[in-house]
Amino acid sequence: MEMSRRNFIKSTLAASAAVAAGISTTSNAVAQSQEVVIERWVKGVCRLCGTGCSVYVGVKGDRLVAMKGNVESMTNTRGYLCVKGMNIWKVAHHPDRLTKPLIRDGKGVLRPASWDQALTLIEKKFKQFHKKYGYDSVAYYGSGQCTTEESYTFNKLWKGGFGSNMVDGNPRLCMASAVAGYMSSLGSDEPAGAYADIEKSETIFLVGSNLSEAHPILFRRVARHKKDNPNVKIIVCEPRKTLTSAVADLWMPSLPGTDLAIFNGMAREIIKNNWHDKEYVKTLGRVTIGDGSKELAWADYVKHLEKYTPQYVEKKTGCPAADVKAAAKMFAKSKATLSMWCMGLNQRANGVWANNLIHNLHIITGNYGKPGADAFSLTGQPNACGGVRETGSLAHLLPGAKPVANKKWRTFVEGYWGVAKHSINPSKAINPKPGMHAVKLFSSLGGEKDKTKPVKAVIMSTTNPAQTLPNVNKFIGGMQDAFTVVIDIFPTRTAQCASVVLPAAFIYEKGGVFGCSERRSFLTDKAVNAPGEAKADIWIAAQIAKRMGLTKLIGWANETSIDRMNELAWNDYIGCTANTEKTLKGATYKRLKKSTVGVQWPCPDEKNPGTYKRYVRGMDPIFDNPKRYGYTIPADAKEFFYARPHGKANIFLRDDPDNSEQTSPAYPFIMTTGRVLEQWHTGSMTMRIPETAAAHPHSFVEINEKDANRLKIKNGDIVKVESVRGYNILPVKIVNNTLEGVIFVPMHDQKADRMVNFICSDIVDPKSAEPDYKVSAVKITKVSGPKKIDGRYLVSRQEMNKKTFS
Amino acid sequence: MIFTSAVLEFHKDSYKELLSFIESQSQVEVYDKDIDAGKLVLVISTEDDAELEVIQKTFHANKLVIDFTYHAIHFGESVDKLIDGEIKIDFEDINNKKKNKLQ
Repeated sequence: MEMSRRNFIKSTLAASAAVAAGISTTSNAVAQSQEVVIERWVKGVCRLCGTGCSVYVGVKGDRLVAMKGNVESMTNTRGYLCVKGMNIWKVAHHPDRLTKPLIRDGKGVLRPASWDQALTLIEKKFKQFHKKYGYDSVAYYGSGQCTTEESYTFNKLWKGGFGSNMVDGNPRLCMASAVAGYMSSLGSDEPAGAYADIEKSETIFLVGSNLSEAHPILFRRVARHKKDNPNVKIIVCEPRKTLTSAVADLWMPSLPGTDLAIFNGMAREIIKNNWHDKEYVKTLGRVTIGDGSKELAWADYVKHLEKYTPQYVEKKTGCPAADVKAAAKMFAKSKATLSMWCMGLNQRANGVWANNLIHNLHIITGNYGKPGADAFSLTGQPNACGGVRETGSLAHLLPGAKPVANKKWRTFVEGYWGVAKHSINPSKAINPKPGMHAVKLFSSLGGEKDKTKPVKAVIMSTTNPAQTLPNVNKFIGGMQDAFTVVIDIFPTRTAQCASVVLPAAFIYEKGGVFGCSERRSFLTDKAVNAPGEAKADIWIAAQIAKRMGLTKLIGWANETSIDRMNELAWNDYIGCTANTEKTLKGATYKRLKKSTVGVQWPCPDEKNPGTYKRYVRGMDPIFDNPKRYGYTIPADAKEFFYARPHGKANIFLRDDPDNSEQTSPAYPFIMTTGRVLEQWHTGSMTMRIPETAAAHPHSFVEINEKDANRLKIKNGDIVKVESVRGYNILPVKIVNNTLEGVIFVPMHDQKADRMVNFICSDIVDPKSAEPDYKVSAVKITKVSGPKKIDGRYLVSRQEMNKKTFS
Repeated sequence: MIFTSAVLEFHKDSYKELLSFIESQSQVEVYDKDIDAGKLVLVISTEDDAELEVIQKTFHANKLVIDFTYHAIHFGESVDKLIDGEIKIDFEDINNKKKNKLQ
């Protein structure tokens, strides 16, 4: 019997789900359909969080028509999808897509232009500024949402071609503290383990992460693990009792910014009860302080922890003393403990130290190097790890995540790139001095008339700093006065400040590699063409390279096929980093094209399957030939932190300083910020999906019910939330899931008086330069009773012509 | 129309009770099943994602359900209508739809 079109679609989807569920399907009638409703399935990655879910997009003609999970996936196991990913097609086909270059005229209006006009203007300005103000006057600000090939190309263009390290990216705002934490504690960036540790763990410590809303697929894995194994213990430590706590055995509340005392308190409790792994500490631990150069004795560490009694911790953090004891026991007594954290730890004035203290807990309990045990920092963006951290597209790094200040590595990269031959900078070298981190970069950005601002131009891709920078009011004027180029798919607040706006291709319109939190690089194939004149970033970078006289440096600049450009850029990148511990030499483009699961580094050759667990002999291929990577590993070492001469992980003495903004009688509340499930970042995509926009059409402020009673505020009332930097006008949501004195505001709303970063503190971590989004001192005053909110606000094409934010 | 396949895991002793619940959902069809393993493959046909979300919440709220997870979605008809101008992605059509309450 001939099937109807709709029945055919349903049978196709059902058959795929049956495979995912591992049950035999009776939906084999699909072959009888007379109509092709999906011409081909194209493999790719979801781009709406850092998990790296593997998907197939269904294509008919030049349209995306379907999406399914990849049942072979190692990330979204069994190919399950979440609500954000399933709606991504509305972004690709949205009528608001930017489709033509725009140049701002003398009256402040963005006018359509040709690509040649836009690129000619960029060339003229860049050359003019290079000559007049020096090579560091022109910056690149990238994103954890660009592909690896794109980030690598821009990074090479700037550092190798211009001799300037004025390259940074939005991972500075989310992951920099984790990077510095891994580097200082273990000697090498990124986790030792993988998502596969979730199902092998006995205790999971979730800290500074609202996993249920920020990484729903990973939360599902955690919840499922708990459901299947009721003895597994889950601890959630965060200021708000979110949905994540629904699966927890223990919720540890803490006042924002104070949890360093909790971690030290747990360590004290573990040692006091003799639960620590003495052999592991002796073999693989090293007590130290400050920058890690001076080795101390174990007794120094024990003495340092004396202050952190459960009672002290309770007083400092608001976390009950009994919870500290219980958490310490769960953490130490399990056979394998996995910690996972995200922005709650990283976006802090003491984010690096917070990371160090989590690593301390793992070192003293021997929780690395075995299945189910790891200290795992989750990323918020799909390619913050692969594209920015691993390619070294930050102001202080080179490919392989090694510092520009490292002369040996700098010399190698100069040689590999042919800098002496190709650079347009007379120095003919990579600058040994790091460039500016994000907050400093935008503080230094301004017009030609402003002699105090040395940065005169910036090109920004796939990111929205005019909404995301902390204390953002400080930076908007500079962005408007300088020569700013924005590459994006939609109008944004940053595009509103731009001199030139370049329309970008979406991931499924160009393809490329994303590397997710678990060191896994996965290639997305191009599925459909970009709308109008939108172009891939790598093409844009190539055009700039050609016009700046750097065609030979960027060997793919003259290619016309984006796929070929991607391949050449990728192969150049994996060649550059082949002799680092982040090697993906075996993950050739050809291999990634074929692979349906991607490859985890280190992967030194094509026969290597990729690495699930680092630092362990028999699992980590670096042990097979350490000299190739510049390391010495004793032949009898089963586990070794090879990026350090001594092979040990640092147990840091870190106190709990009050570096964050402090409350005062005038500003008595602590405000913390974050995501909600249906929205992502500044809402430029998710606010354009009606259903997700409808779920949270505007921002709000969560206030503890006791605080609300004291302030005589009712649910829905409109209040002014104000810091010394600025204010928001927000409706109130009264909750009982926070400690008193703590309020929460989401970050996705684009409406000027609800953009929370006008309020946020711009204190940065002294080591990582990551801002302290999680702790700002504010006051709350009632404005009115409940009233209609101008929700679902989006920056429109028309608003891009306005000087002020409405 | 949007068509979505999902995998539902249930307490296998309650299959009959669950089945009658599913049959009460007009947009939901059972395509495959493994009762011993406590798994069903469902296909859900909805006008839009908002309707789909309501169904998802209904399943998540059902005590007989252990897990309910999406696997694939076909939105081709909506894309065609969108590109052909028959529907708009704007906010006019969601004004009256449910949003998350403030409490």
